[in-house]
Amino acid sequence: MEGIRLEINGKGHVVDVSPYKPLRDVLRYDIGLTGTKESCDSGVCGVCTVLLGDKAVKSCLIPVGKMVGEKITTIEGLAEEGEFSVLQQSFIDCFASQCGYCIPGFIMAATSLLIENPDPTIQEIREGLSGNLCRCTGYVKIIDAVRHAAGKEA
Amino acid sequence: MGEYHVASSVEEALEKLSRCEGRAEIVAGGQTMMLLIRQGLVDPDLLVDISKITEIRGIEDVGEYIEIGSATTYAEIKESPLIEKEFGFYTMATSEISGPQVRNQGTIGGGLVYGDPALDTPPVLLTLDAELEIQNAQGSRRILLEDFFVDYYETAIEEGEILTKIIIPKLPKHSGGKYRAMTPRQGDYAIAGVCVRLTLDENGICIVARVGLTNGGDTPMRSKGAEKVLEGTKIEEETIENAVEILGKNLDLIGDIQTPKSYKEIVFKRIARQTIKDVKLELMSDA
Repeated sequence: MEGIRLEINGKGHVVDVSPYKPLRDVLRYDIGLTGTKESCDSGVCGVCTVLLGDKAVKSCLIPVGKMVGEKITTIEGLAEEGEFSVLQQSFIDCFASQCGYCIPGFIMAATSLLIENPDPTIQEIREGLSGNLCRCTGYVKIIDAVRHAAGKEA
Repeated sequence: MGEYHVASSVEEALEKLSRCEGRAEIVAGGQTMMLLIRQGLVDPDLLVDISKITEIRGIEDVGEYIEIGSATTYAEIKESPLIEKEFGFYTMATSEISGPQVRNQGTIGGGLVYGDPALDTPPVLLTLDAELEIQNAQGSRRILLEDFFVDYYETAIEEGEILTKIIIPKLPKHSGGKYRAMTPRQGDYAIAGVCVRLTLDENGICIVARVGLTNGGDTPMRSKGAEKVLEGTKIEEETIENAVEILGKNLDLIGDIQTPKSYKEIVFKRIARQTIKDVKLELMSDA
C-alpha cells in the first residue's frame, strides 16, 4: 500500500486510507487538523469548508482520492508566523463569533470570496457566504467582519 | 479497499470501466456521489474520476448550438459570458444552486445523471430543448434530454457509458425565459420550481412555449399541457389561467408533513402564473 499523497497548508502528508473517505475525515482523524469542523454530513452547513487552490469546497463531499496534486488549505493554514490573516483578525475585532463552531467554515469561504473579489458589496458577501450556516444566526457581525477585512467601514 | 482512478481521457475511462470486475461508478465533482456512498446506496469497488478530462470540460459556441462539456462545473457555467448572452435565465438559475462551494465542484453532467427531480437546472435545460451526447465502447449516441429522464433517480444512461456533452440550440429571436423556485432558504432544495421559456413571432403570438418543473413529479419534467395552451396565443390573462390549471393537473406530487400535496399545488400554480407573466412582459418590452 503506497498511500495517498496530500499537500495541506504547504506540507506534504501520506495517508493510508480508503480513497472514498471524505477529505474532512482525513483532515480531522488521520492528520489531526480539527479546525475543519463536521456537522451536517450532507453538504448543507459549510462548517467543513476548505480551499483547493483559491476555491472554497465542502470537504465532506470530496473523496480524498480526488486530492492528489491539489493544494489544500485549512483554517490552520491561514496564519503566517503566528500572525492571524487580516480576515481572521477582522472576525476577532468585529466580535463576529458567537458559539464559534461555524466560524472556520465562514472564514474559509470568505477567504475565497475576497481572493476572487477583493471589494465585495454586502449582497456579494451574502451570496459568497450562502453555502454556510450559523445557527446562532450571527450573520450581521460576520458580514461586518468581511467588510472590515476588505477595508470598508463595518 | 476500493480503487480510485483519475482518468485523463474518455477512452481511458471507458476502458477502465469495462475492465472492472466488481461494481464501478463514475464520479465527477463528487457532490452527489459522496452522499450516495455515505447513505449506503452505492458501494463501489472502483470510482473513475472524469473531472480532469479536458475534452469534456468547457463551453463552446459551435454556430447554431452551445456545447457544454459534461464535467464543466456550475461555477464555470455561472461565470460564462457565452451562456449569459444566449440563455440569461439559465445563468440565473445556476447561480441559485446551493452555494459557491458546491458550484465550484458540482458538474452539469453529474446533476443530470443523478436524475434527481429536486435539482434546479435540469428543468431549465428541458425548456431549452437540450440534447445529450453519450459515449460508450462502440462510439457515441445522442438523446434528447427529455427522453433521458426515465423514473425517480433513473436515467437512460447504461452501464459502461459516459455522458460527455450537453448540446443546447441557440434561441430564435423574440425568445425569453425565467426560472423561479420557492425554497425554504437560499441555496436549499426547492419545494417547487418552474421554468418558462417562450418564443414569440413578429405579431406577438407565442410559437414555442416550454414549461419545465422542479419537484413536479418523479423526474425533472415538462408540463406539456400548459405549453400547448400557451402556443398559438397572445398569452392573454385567460390563457395564462388555463395553462396554470392544466399545469396543476400535470403534477405528480408527493406530499410530506411540512408541505402537503394541496399546498405544493398552490405554490406551483402561483409560481407558474407569475413566471409566465414575467417572461411575456420581458418579451413585450424588448419588442
